[in-house]
Amino acid sequence: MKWTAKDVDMYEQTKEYVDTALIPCIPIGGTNMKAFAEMSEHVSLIANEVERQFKGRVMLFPPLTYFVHEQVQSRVREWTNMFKTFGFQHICFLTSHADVSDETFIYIPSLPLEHVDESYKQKIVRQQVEQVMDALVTKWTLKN
Amino acid sequence: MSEKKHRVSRRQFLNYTLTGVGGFMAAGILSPMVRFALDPILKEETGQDMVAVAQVKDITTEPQRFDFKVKVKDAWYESEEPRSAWVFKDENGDIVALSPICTHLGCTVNWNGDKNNPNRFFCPCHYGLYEKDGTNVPNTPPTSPLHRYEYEIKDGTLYLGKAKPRGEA
Ligand code: FES
Repeated sequence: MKWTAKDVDMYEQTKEYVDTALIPCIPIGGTNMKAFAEMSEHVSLIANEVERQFKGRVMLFPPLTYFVHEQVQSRVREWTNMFKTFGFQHICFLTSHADVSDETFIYIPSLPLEHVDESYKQKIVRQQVEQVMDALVTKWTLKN
Repeated sequence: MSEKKHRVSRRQFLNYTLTGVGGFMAAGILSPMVRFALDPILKEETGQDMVAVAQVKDITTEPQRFDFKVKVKDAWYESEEPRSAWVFKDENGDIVALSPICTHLGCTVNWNGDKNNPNRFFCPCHYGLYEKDGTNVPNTPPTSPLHRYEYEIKDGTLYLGKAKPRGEA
């Protein structure tokens, strides 16, 4: 489900089934802007595709956006606690920002996909989507 | 005489103007109404486009997943959305194209997705199960079968249309 009025309606009726919050993390930097913009596009693309496949159990939230010099880890901790109080069991942060990727994040490297051909691009994206889905399924099975 | 003429022409003038203005107003009111009335019909048509998905010779009795794209018209813009279908030939040799969207809450199901349930479709979200023909397995969360795509075969190519609840497609 997505953070839209229509999906939130659905969420409110099916809360007990939606136990996973997915949050894309998007850094903004003043130098090397293009690389940051690429990360932003990439992480959104992957997050949307994961949501499409796991619509019934995952709520995709608007991204956690931060400036590169900010301490994102402490905000991630705050957000995690907030989502727990909402009743989410699994809170997953998705990032393409290598500098912050520790075990609290699911890290998906963004590749400069601009110039590669469409079929190769699709293959990479699909692999990464699967990698994220596997990570979620693992979380779910560990819990049960 | 000249006054009479003048009066008539004034009346005519008013007549023309009022009809003109009235006509404009009527057109202004009616045209959006006509548009609204026609819009659903136009939308219906664009939604029913058939999309080429696979070559018939590649379709086996084992369900395979084919991905394709459909054009979707939103209130604001037109975009392409990904879709998938599980396609196979049933025991009569008829083609079956199932929508992978779980009828419980909309996750994507996989053929043979669960080792303990071979030859079934499995939904990883809340462990929903479906038989090969799309029938939901009792005592799992889904309460209705997977939807089926309308299909068409032209020159050895399989085209898919809309996915509909079973019985309608
Ligand atoms: S969405 Fe498939 S079982 Fe719930």
